[in-house]
Amino acid sequence: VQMGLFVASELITRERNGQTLELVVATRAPFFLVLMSRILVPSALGLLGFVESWLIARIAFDVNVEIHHPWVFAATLLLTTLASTGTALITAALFCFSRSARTLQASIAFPLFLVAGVLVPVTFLPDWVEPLSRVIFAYWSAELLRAAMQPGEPADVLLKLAAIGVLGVAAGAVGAFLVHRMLQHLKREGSLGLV
Amino acid sequence: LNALRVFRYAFIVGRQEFGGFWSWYTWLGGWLPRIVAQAVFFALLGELLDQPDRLRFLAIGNAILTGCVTTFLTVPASTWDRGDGTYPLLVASPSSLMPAIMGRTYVWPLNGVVTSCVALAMVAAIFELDLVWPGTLLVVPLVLLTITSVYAFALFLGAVITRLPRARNIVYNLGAILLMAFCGVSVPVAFWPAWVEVMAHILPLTHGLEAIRLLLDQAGAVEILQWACLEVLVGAAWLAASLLLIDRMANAGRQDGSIEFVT
Repeated sequence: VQMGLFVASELITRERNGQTLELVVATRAPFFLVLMSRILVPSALGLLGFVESWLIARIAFDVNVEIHHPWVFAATLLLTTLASTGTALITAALFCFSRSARTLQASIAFPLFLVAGVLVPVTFLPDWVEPLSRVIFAYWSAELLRAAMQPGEPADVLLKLAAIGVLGVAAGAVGAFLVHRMLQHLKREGSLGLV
Repeated sequence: LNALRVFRYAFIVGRQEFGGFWSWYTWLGGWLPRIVAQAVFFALLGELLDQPDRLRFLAIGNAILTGCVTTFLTVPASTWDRGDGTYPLLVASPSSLMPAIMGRTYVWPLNGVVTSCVALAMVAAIFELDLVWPGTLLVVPLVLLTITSVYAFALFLGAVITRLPRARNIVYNLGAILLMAFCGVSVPVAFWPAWVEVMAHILPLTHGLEAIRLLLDQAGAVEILQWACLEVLVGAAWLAASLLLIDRMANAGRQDGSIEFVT
């Protein structure tokens, strides 16, 4: 998730800095699709972090993290990658007007992970946080990944997978709309190639 | 005096540069929630384990760490002159490179001190940490000392990557992870194997953080001062190493013609 957010946040800024945004926008391909595919690759590469963490746990700490439900685990990772790509599209559109996208990208990951209960379940946070958590795809991803590592049968798997998918698609749609509006604004101002 | 003047002008550049990253409202609205979230994120592990001592350990360690990681931006910032195309001019000038680099990057440890202090105050309030006032205010000079020591280490790494400016982000991340993992932030240094423990003692942060913990736990002044002095020694050693290295690296680059513009 962090890899996708990291790359997406400065993608448009980098295109503008390199004076290539006008060329990319001038092509017939929808710009948001170009962005999404460019975000998807680093997001997918971020999955290597799981392998790395597993190996560190195994080799350095002699802890065997067993995945009891590999299909649940794999489906969750796949959908999480797609949902994080959709979410990152929003940051790509929002941060392109910032003087320094990198500072903003540094600011969003930890609050997002905290509220989503990635490290510690949201039950440890104040009650008012939980409704907020439920609209973050990472909340459902964390729930399913934890369940996939427990021996017991995971509950409501399809429902939770659907939640990740729906939130990812919704974020992607919002992101595509924002990218469209952002391009309209830049075209109107004649500042597509200006930084 | 010349070095001070160079430092002053370079600091003005660094301050302007910092303003390009953060304004007051983005610092308060973006950075502040981020550092608090980071400290709370890890401190909650103590809550999960239902161990108040562990929570206190994690909260203090991670609050101080936020400022250290901020200070560590000195590592990539040391190479930004390469990207700006101003590095050959600095190397060619009669002054040492050190005051120019220190001046341009000094804003990061200043931000680090404020970051650590604010993060500590926030987690103390959120987790209702038991602190004794006004003695706790003495944490500010200890934070200043610790961050200065981390800054010296970051300057050293910045000097090392003068020859490899494209490695700046990798070195920044690896260095920050070293501090995060081994310097007693989330687990005591004694948790690690002996050789890691030795490494932790030559890294900055380890002794300063211990002094901060002792102060907040109302330990004796002598013990706190002992740890603080060790942090001074470690920081001074890294600063001396950077002083020795930075101009040598620049001269080596001048000799082999590698001080060119790098993005």
